[in-house]
Amino acid sequence: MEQLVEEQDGIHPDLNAHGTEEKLELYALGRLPDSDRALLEEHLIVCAVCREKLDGIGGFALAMREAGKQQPEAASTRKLASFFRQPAVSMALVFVLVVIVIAIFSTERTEVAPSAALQLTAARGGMPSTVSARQLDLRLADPPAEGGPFRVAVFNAAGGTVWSGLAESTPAGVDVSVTVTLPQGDYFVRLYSVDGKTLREYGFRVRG
Amino acid sequence: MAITMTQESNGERVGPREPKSQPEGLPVPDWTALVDGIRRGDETAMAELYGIFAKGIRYFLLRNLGPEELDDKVHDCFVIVTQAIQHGDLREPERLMGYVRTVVKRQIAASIDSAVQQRRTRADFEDTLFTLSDWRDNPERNVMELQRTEIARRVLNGVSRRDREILNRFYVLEQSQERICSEMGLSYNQFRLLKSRAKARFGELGKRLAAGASINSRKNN
Repeated sequence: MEQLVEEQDGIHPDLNAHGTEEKLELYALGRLPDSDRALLEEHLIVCAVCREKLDGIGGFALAMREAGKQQPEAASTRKLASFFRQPAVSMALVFVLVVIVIAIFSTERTEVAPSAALQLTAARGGMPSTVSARQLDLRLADPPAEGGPFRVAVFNAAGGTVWSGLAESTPAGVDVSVTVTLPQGDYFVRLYSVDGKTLREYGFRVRG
Repeated sequence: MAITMTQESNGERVGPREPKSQPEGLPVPDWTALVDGIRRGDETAMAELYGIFAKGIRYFLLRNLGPEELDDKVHDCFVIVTQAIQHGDLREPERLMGYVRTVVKRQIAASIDSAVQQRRTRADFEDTLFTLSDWRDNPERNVMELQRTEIARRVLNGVSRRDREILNRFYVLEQSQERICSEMGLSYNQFRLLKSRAKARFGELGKRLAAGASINSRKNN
């Protein structure tokens, strides 16, 4: 009995403090703050009107909660939202994004050089090699005696044309700038006369 | 104190009643006189005490414990309260409502504890899995709740996606009104209006369902 007495507090509730719809709804949903709950319950003990209101509001609120839980979009949203709200998950996502961005940029920098240069001769023998580059400057040595302009075509090992263009003859040879990045593999270069006659053929290799 | 819905004996409602006009002011009893009368054993005071609190006590006990032995439990609460008053344990008569609430809470807690113990004991003896079956789990109540949920589902499906998100945030995700309004760009009035419309629709569908049920019932009879 004394324990019950000790629970009395200094609050003197107003008998006519009827619960608002918001408070009754929160109470029905079990979400009314503790500070309001005791007073509302004391009022409900003596007020039949508010009890009846609570029945109506509570029935609606509880049904909405149950129906909402059964909605697939609410369920998945709830799960997704709660999953991504976890600090560890958010931080992990940011970390992964940063790693991906760094990997993209660093990959490009290490695998492809900005430019490379190679001198080719028409003599058969070992194929000179170079690295993959965004621009490959080729000097075709021992050009034909007649001058240019010449047409130059670069072929891959399968015979596909990977680049073609015009080139001028210089005292050192025919200079060509291949402005496509050639991946690893063997390539052949043909030097044509303006009228399409094959004048020279060269070969080179792009190293991996 | 968890509150579940009233199970009415006849004419089950599946939707909220129309709200009545503003509640009238309750007559405020003279708590001091009432407590003095009970302390003296005045039967009129006892009757007045019963008149003020009986229905409310019954309401809470019914929701939390069910109809079983309800009258006895209500009586027990009154015995505790009157004995406390007669022993002089109630220091402030104005706190009588709070005191009654505390007694009811204790009664509910004690009854639940007792029920759990009984079931645990029986389960051990019978060597079965322990489950606490709730009085709420009865066929009529289940049907009523299923109907209400179905009506609410129709209400949710009948609103826009945005409105549905707002309602789900409040009822399912349990976000506060303030947070919802802030994040969804709503005013408080817009939020209340949305809920009010949903509630009105809920009541409307409930009435239709009840009307349909009564028509079927008349046809069958």
